[in-house]
This record gives sequence, structure tokens and C-alpha cells, in this order.
Amino acid sequence: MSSRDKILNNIRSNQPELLPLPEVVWPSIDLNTDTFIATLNGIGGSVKFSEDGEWIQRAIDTTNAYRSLETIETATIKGVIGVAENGAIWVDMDSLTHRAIPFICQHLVIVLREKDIVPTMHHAYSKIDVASHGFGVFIAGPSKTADIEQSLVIGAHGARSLTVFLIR
Amino acid sequence: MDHSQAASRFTKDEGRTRWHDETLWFVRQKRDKAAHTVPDWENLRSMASQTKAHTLSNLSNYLLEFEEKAIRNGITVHWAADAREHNEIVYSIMKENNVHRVVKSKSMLTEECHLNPFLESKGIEVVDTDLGERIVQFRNEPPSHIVLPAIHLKREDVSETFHEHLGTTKGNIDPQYLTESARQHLRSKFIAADLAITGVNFAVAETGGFVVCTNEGNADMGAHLAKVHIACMGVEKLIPKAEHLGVFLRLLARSATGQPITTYSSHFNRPQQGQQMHIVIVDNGRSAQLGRKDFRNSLKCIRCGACFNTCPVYRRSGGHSYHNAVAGPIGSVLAPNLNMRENADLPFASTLCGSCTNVCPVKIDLHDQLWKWRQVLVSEGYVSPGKKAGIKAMSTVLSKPWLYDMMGKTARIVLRAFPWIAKSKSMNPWYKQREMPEAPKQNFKEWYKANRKR
Repeated sequence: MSSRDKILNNIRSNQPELLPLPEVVWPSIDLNTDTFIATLNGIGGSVKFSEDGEWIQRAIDTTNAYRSLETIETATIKGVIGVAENGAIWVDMDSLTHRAIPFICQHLVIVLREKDIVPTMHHAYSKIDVASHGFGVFIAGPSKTADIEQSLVIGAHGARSLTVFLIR
Repeated sequence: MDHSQAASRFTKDEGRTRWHDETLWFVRQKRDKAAHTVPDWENLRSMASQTKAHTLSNLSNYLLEFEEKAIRNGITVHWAADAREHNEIVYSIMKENNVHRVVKSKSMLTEECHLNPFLESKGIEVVDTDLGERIVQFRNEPPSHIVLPAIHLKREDVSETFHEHLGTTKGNIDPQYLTESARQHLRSKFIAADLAITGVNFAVAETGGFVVCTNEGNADMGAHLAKVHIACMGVEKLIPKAEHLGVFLRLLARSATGQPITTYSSHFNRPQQGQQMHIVIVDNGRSAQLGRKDFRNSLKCIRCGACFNTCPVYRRSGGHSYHNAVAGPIGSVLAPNLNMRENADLPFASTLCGSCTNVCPVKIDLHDQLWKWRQVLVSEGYVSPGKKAGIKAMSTVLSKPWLYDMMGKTARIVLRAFPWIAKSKSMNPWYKQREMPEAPKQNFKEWYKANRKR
């Protein structure tokens, strides 16, 4: 018997009788742009307000025109959904030519529409179709570590800074 | 060396023990603060616990669904019954692709399987890329905590290690400087790597994809830059649907470090163009644990480490004392399932205070399971005869009030006559690190009887 069948057989005979799957429910929570900004600042990101315009696409085009990934200084990418409770922004790879860009760049800029800020992760998942993308990521602030004596250091392997441009 | 021997070695350095204790308690307090900002926290814990209970009760079907969807996504799925097979599969993928340089992000499963030494014996360079893991790898040590791998070390130790391996300035102990040096060193490793190994935090049956959480971004740097990505997961990582990620991601980082969420929560569904993606699904004793009714709930664990940070024994004995890839209360529940003889000491490395159970985001009844393991281990004969005799004598005395009274009276008389007995470390191990009070003339029962009449 293959290991696959052996494992599945063992699990089948050892798993308990079927238990119910609870519904995912959450109370109505009033979290807004102010919470988003405060939370993001708290985890090392900064927020600026900006106007909509051609500059966004130009910045994304510039990002995608890199010669080699490891030389990207500042990358500008589009955010899809912002989450007020934790400052995370969902980013899919629709506008990017390589998945490594948001991580390997020295500084990251995410452009997000204010109307796309939702209160919690539950709201975010109800709006995203995770499976429709080969890769997607919630990014919350710049890369960080506290592995040396619990002292927080910003800029571990990924971007050293995160700036979010909120489009009203 | 068993846990208590290793722990007494750890506590020899009193200053460091105190630092370790206080630092982890600080992380526990950050967890509390984060949990208190979420109004529906207790409801989240219940949902998470029940969702995992449901998943475990239907695990075979969810695994099949996950496999089918993952294959449809272009991912190659492998199955490993045990650690040896897991390592062989990983190595065979490397051989097929002529791989020599591997970068790895945190995976406790690969620690459990001892993958690194296996690959190194085959001539492959494996670089752990999580900063804490890189530090302990340089020092040839295992991680001492599942979330904070180098929490047993001070900045002076890291500075020494980096001076030796990365050529940093001797005596420069600035964490910023040391982290920057590791960043530069590991960037060159990421760019040169042929293959990346990552763990899996959650595998979603509905989508055939998986989620990896890091703060540093090392899993992404590895996985997106290498031409082959292998993700290793235990069978218990499954959750039914993407919407359940909302529940678990709200709990994970808050429970672990008190952050609202990890910096990166990466959802891998399909390989990048020109890239291979493999998933190795590992059993290694998990299906057996699923069959142990009393210990089944331990498979709900999402590896946040909250039970470590709150545990008075872990905080004062350090992760290495547990001689197991996963330390702390959850490690002590998981380890005997892997090997009862070698890990019979671990369920006793607890005060059964129940703090672990109180902070667990998926409501694992940890202290109950520790207590139940003790009974299994004693009845199966894995506990030393001395301990066994002691437990037996204790249970006889405590179950017979007249005997208890008599023994107590005798002890008080003897100890008042010969107080040195209590202060002899060889006759009374309890005296170590403790002041013994003088033996009183009467016990509470006698005092109460005498005073109540008045």
C-alpha cells in the first residue's frame, strides 16, 4: 500500500464521529479609516493621503521596469483591501510582473482607495476570492524582527519601510 | 538528561534565568493586551476550536479535497508516513533538480524530522533564513522556542556568533547592526538558492492552497526567488475554507507576540510561471494521536507559542530542557506520542496550574492532557521506580485520613526534634532553592478543633 493510502486509512479509522462545523460569525464592529491609520502607524507603517491620477500607473510601470529584482529601491503596488483592525492590506499580483517585488524592494509603497478599507479580516475574506490568484498576500507594515533579545528591528529581509497612499 | 536535570543546569545562571522568565512574561502580557482589544475574542477562540474539531473529525475527506485541488492548481503533492520518508522525498526532489543550495524558512515539522542534518549528510547546503533560526544554526543548537528560536540567547552571544561566522565587529552588540549584517548575508543566499523550503501555517481544503506567516519576509524571499518551492506540512494543518483564515489569522499573531497580525500572511495557490511547487503532507505519528481520545485535541494546535510564554516551568527552564523539537506545554503533550520512553519526563515538567489552557487560542485542554499523560506513562511503566513508589505511597496516605493524620503528627515530632533532616539536600530535594519553615506543633485541623470550642 502506498504511504498516501496508509495515512488516509489510519486517519479514517482513527478520526472521531463527524462534529458540526460552526458558522463564521462576528459582531458588528465599527472600525474605520482612523483605526486603520492608527494601527498601521503602530506597526511601523506610515500613511499619506493623495489624489487619484495617472501617477499611480506610472509608478507601477516604473516598478515593473526593473533591470534586476535586487536593485529595486522603491516599489509601488496596488492594494486591494485594507483591514482596519490590524493595518493589513491585501495585495494580489495582477499588476506585478514578479511575485518577489513587494518583498525584495528596499522600500514599499502601496496605493489603496479609502473606500476599500473594511473593519476586520472577516470582512476582507468575504470580499476577496483567494483562489482566483496564484499568489496573494496580506502585508501589514514593514519587514521586522525581534529575534535578538526581543528588541524590535525594522527591515529584516523584506522592505525597510511601508508607505500607504490613501486615495479619498 | 531528563527535563529536571537539564533545567537545573539552565537555572545555574540566576541572572539569565530571571531575564528569560521576565522576557517571556512580557510577551505574555503583550498577548493579553492584544486579546483585550478584540471584543469578540472568546467567541473567536470557540469558533477556532470547534472548526479544528470538525476538521479533525472529517480529516480524511479534507485531505482528499485538498490534494485534488492542489493538483489542479499545478502543485505536486507527496505523502510521507514518517520523518524518514519526508526527508527522502525532499531529497529526491533536490536530486531530480540538481539542487545544491537550499534556503529554508521556519518549519517546526522539518525540525521534528531532523531534515537539516539529513540533507547536510548528502552534501546539500541548507541555510535557515529566519534570523533567530540562523543564529541557532550557526551555533549548532536547535531552536529553543517555536516562535522565538533564539530567546535563550543574549545580544552578547549573538554578537560573538556573528563575529565568528559573518565577520561583524567584535563587541558590537547593537541589534540593529547585527540584524543588518544578517540581512546582507541572507540576501546573497536568497539570490543564489536553487530551492526554497517553507512550512505551512494553514492549508485550505476548499482552494488547494496554503498560507505561510512571517514577520521578516524570509519565506517569501525564498519561495519567490528559487525555481523550486517545497512546502512541508503535518496532516493537521488543514482548515475547511478560506473564510476560516479570517478566524485563525485574527488569533495567531495576537496570541503569539501581541501583534495584530504578522507582517506577511502569504497565500500560495499556484506556482509562478517557470517554477515548481511541491507539498509534502506528513503523518509521523499524527494519525495515531488522532486515535487517542484524550490527546486528540493537541492536533488543533496552530503553533503560536502562547502556552510557552505563560508557563512558569518553561520560563524558568528554557526550551532546550525539553529535548524535543516543540518544547513547552504543547510539546510535552505531543512528544510522548512520538516516543513514550524518551519523553516520559515531559508531562511532569508542569505545575498543572492551567495557565496554558487559559491562553490557548484553540482551547486545547493542555493541563488536563499533561495530567492524563502522567497516568498513561505510569501505568505503562515508563516512569522511574522511585517516582512510581512515591506516587503510590502518596496516594495511599492521601486516601486514608487516619493515616494522613498519623503521618503528619509523626513528621511534626520528628522534624521538631531533628530539623536538619528537612535541610538535607540529599534527603529532601524540596529544600533546594527553598527556605524550610519550622515544623509547627499542630496542624490546622488540630488548631481549629482547639480554638473552635472556645
